[in-house]
Amino acid sequence: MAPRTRFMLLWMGLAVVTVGVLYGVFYRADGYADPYYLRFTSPPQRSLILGTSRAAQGLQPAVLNEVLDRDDLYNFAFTIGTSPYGPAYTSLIERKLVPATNTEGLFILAIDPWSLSVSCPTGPDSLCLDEQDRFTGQLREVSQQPNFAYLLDHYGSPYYRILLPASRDMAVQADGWLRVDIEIDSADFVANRDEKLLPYRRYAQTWRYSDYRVRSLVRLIRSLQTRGEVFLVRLPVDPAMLAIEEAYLPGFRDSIESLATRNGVPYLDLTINSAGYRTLDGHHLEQASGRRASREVGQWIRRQLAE
Amino acid sequence: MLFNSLDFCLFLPLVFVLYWYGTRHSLRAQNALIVLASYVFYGWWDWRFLLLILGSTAVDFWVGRRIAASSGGRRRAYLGVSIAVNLGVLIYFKYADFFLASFAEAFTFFGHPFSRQALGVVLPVGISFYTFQTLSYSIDVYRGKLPASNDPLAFAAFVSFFPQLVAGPIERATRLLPQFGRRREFDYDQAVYGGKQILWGLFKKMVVADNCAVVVNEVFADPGAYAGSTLLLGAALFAFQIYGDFSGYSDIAIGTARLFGIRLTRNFAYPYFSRNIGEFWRRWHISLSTWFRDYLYIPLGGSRGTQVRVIRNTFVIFLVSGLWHGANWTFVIWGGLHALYFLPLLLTGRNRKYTGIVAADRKLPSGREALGMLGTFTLVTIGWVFFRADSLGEAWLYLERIASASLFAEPIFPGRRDALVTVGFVLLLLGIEWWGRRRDVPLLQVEGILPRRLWIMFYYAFAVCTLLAAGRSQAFIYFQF
Repeated sequence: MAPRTRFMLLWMGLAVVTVGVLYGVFYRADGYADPYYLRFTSPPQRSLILGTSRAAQGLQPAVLNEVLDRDDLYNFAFTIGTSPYGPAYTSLIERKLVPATNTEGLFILAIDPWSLSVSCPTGPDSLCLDEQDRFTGQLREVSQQPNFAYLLDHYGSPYYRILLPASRDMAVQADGWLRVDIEIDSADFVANRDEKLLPYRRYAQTWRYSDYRVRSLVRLIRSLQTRGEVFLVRLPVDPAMLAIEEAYLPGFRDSIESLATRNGVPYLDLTINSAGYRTLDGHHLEQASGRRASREVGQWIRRQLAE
Repeated sequence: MLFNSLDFCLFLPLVFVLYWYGTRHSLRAQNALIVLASYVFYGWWDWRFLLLILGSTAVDFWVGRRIAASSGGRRRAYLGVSIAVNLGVLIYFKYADFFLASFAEAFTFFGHPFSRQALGVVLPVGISFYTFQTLSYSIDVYRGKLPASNDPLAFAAFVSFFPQLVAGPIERATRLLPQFGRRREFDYDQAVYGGKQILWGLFKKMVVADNCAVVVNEVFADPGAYAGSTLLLGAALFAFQIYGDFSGYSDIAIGTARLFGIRLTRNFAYPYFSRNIGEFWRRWHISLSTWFRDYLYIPLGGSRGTQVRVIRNTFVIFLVSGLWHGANWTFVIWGGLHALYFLPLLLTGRNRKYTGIVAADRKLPSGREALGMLGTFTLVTIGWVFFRADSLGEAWLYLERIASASLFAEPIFPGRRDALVTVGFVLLLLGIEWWGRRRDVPLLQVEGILPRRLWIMFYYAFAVCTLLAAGRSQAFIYFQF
């Protein structure tokens, strides 16, 4: 055998071994791989829960499905960095939906001041959409198992983390809900909250409410209305976080109420009565409170549908 | 095209097969394929910058011919054309905005506010590398060290050879150009050696550098938010990030070149095992250090002449080296700092005290050697803070916080658990390098303890582990230079 052919065989052997191992590892990726991956492996959906990490953790499809007597609600909410309302998230949502012939869908859009803001203090909003450079703006295939495009281009940890997750406390479930199994005592809560609120205090100084994102939200609502019923909700947060949000955008509540009325979308603001809801960090509802919030949202939607 | 990308994983075998199966009987065909592949490789970023490479190739080829055909003052004039064109392009693309901004700031500082419009020039990848490489050709032809090339294809291959085009090693024409004048024969052992060197480079880049980058990016993005202990860890990890990134690139480049029958210069020789700064600079980015030595330091007089002259020459070479890295005062200060580190050694004649391998005949270093290595690493890491920071103010804040009482606080930052694994990767790198420090590629040391039949399994397993432990892919740091 010619030496160059021998070398090529050696090389091909290496390629086969590495690709084989990688495929095996990718095949084992599950809800523990990261807080997003599993949502890009499920089939296209008819009904979605949308928003950022508050909705990802706080709105539990199983509870909502039970209250609403359905079986198709799927949580497709991510984080403030990846899924604020804008053209990238809208396209991602459209790719995740079954073809437009379906008109019996249900869509719960969770909103908050941050998901309708941009981080650049000045300049055109359309040039300040950080999510365009992340999977939100880049991923074309959103229903593939294993999802090679996501794992090769957007997976943020070393691949061994698929086999050995850094933590077993957090996992995306089959219905898209991000389950977080952390029990915290009051001392942990205060430390978590103070740490979590720190960046938001900074955002409140430098971010600004974005008409561009609001227009994107309106376009998304109109597009989803052709596929079913659309509801807007604002999830409860800790009073300290609410104070930051009210100082940041004092008129947010009125402006969303007016947007909802103009577009014929029912709106439920759970921050008005946050008492009794517990968060893990001032921002994200802990599991039992998430169940309660999901039940409350479900019952409200049922009443709306009955009217 | 990045070495650690899927594109390159397909590109390299394709070029390899075409080269050894399609063009191996013809020197011209081999060189033509190298040039074509190199242009595709470079054009993958932005095809418009190919014009710069084509221009640089044409000018220096012509200048070389003219120098060879001329005598007296005309030779010098032609050399001047090469220097003016190459440095002119480099200055325009790399430094125009920096100098404009600095002038504006200086005028404003002296009470004459001066507004300016940034040119917004996009820096072509690798411009500093190939500019210096082509300059070395013109200068060496002028000095009579090298005959002018009369083969435009071989010359184009020398200028654009893709493994080292965008981040070195910066090759001398005297070493690389003659290799494109001979037809290459496939050498199995060299190719396998090249493959192992690529694997080692990928480990340094993908496992060490890319994982370090996670912590480094976090802490350098907002130094004010972290304790001194966290910042110290961030600075130390940056030292390993930049080493893994750049020396990893060099290993991949040298290994890839070997696959095509071309030998490149060694660029790194375990710099963090240096016992003083003099030794560090003989082991770090060797191709650039020797370039500056031969084409700048020695022509300025080197270490001969009065003490004032020696000090001036030392500062010039380090400051220019700093500026070569980037158009920012942080790089200038980084260079100046190294000049300050280096001068006492030079003036006391101790800069060449250590020329051999540390603990060459022992397993462990002596206490004195260990202290020397630790001290050198500390000085180098302080320099890296200026190198990595966005501004002098940020670098100063960073160092100030390290020197505060918070240095003794528990380091707290996002992703702390993963950072521990990263520290483990750094220790693995240091362990393998120490163990194999007598070789160019330390990984080869394993062949001494494993039976030959297990070598292939070891290298396959190492490749798989490298892939699984790789951090999120980051662009090579030196591409920006």
